[in-house]
Amino acid sequence: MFKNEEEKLGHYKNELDNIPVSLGSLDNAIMAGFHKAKSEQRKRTRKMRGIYSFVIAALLLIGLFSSIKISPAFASYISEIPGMEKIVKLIDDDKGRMAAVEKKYYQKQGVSDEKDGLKVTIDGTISDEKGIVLFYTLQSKEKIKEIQIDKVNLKAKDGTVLDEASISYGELHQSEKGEHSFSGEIEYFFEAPLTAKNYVINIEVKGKKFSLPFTLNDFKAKKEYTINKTMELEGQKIYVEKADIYPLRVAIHLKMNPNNTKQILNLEDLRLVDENNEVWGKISNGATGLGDKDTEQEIYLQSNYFTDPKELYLVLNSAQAVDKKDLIVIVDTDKLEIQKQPNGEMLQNIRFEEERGLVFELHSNKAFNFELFGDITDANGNKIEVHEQSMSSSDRKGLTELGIKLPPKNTYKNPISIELNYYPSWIKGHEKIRIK
Amino acid sequence: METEQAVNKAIKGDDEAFLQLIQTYKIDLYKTALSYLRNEEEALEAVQDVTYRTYKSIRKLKEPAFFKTWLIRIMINYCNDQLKKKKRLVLNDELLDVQVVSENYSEMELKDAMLGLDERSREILTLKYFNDLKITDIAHCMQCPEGTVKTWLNKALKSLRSKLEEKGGNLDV
Repeated sequence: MFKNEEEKLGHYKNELDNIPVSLGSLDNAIMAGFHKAKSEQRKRTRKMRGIYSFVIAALLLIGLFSSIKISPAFASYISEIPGMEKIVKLIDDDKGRMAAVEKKYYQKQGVSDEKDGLKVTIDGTISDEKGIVLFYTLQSKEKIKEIQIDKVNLKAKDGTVLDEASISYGELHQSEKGEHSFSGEIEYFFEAPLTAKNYVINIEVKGKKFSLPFTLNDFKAKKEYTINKTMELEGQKIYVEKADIYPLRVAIHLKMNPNNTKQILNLEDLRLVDENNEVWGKISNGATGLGDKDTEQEIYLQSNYFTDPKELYLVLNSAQAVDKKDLIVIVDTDKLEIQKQPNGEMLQNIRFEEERGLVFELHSNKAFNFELFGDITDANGNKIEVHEQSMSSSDRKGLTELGIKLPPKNTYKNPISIELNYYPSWIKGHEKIRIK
Repeated sequence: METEQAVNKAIKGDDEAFLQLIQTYKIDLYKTALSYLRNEEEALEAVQDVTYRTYKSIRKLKEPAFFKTWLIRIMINYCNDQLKKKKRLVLNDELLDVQVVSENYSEMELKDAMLGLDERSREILTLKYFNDLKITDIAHCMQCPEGTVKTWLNKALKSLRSKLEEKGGNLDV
């Protein structure tokens, strides 16, 4: 019927086929597109991981751990070294780092850079093959009420590429009456073991740029324990592959069983216990976990590297978990109606507020300080970019208000699906597996 | 079958398999781009961007058997986006081409006619005649019954005919 047209199309195809192709340019174009995608992929995973680490870190600040006892010998050691007291204050919620200082694994640096009356000093470092913690002091001739490091950039002097897994910095230092000096930490962790020894860290504070070179001593090698055992809480299985013990932290490698009916959202209870019932819990300030909650992840615990117990156990009694089918909360923002949420209806009374956007009340038995919400998609499956999430606890125990700043209503289609990252419901058990 | 295995590997994140696949279809991609766009430079840019888009979305590919159709459609989408961006410019240039390149008259005539088609008609013709894809494959990728694709194809050929007649008529005068 369309013989003539088909012939013309065929003829045109032949002409196209006969156009010479520069294979070199074509291959270059392919590689350029491929590299662009690869580099974004890396950036994206890093960014995601950054958020994951940050969120948990902020929440665990709410002291879960008893204070750490300081031996008289340690106390006198601290008092002997000038400036050591402020370092100890920064790490006294982390047993592993306290032990590192006590065992003289802390390395004094003392490099400074000064600009327009502001002086930045790297006092010292604690480092291992996978991480560097830098202790800094910001000093000013004038009294300062508020100061914060805005940017950091670490480079190896020999140009070795550093594969950062997480970076924590930017604590807001505040003082009502004003101070001349503030101290804090910058924490770097890496995907691949560090090989370089000489580094430069560039720091930006109040629009001024500081450059500080430093050298690291030899690292103490990690201790590796293969575990390959399964923990089980209410039928949900967690496969524990191994534990890597570094001076700065312990990395527990886990895999969730794909047949689990519940999604395990957080393992804030996971801890190491030795034969004397001494406990090493989760990192309380900094990156506490990396990876994918569905499949493989690493959980970081405070390090017992310098303790060397006879026996060591990994213990777990509870985990935050929600039925996989309940992982999505569905909300109609026109009708202000929660159409689906886990049993118990803990989310209530949704409304729009000018300041906070869409606000939910979370009614739980006890205070719950985790950011509940993750990715949000609209009825067409398009991702909704959220500008800001907020969380505030009210005076009433167990009432938390959660705000989500959504884009204008005409940019998405109702109802919207909100993924749960955390949720106040726990599965329980008594798991204790021997590592050593 | 070999391709399907490579596709499965690529979906799982195997970069080597991914690049091998793009290599296999690079000429098809490039020629498709050339049929939509104006010159070599734009076509190369298209291949670059489509490699990028494909890598970013390969995990969403549900049926590895229809990889080629899926890939060419990404290219067609890209080209349609480009054409929308500079619609006016392209049309003007095409008119100039028709006047200047008289030797390639038949080619230009057809390209011009194709440009005047709606997106779906053009897509179907490109998939079927320039990339030798089967109606079944096209139907699978567009997630519609084969009958519908056939109807679209008929409609596309019909509008192509009328465009060609229109063009022919105009130029004869």
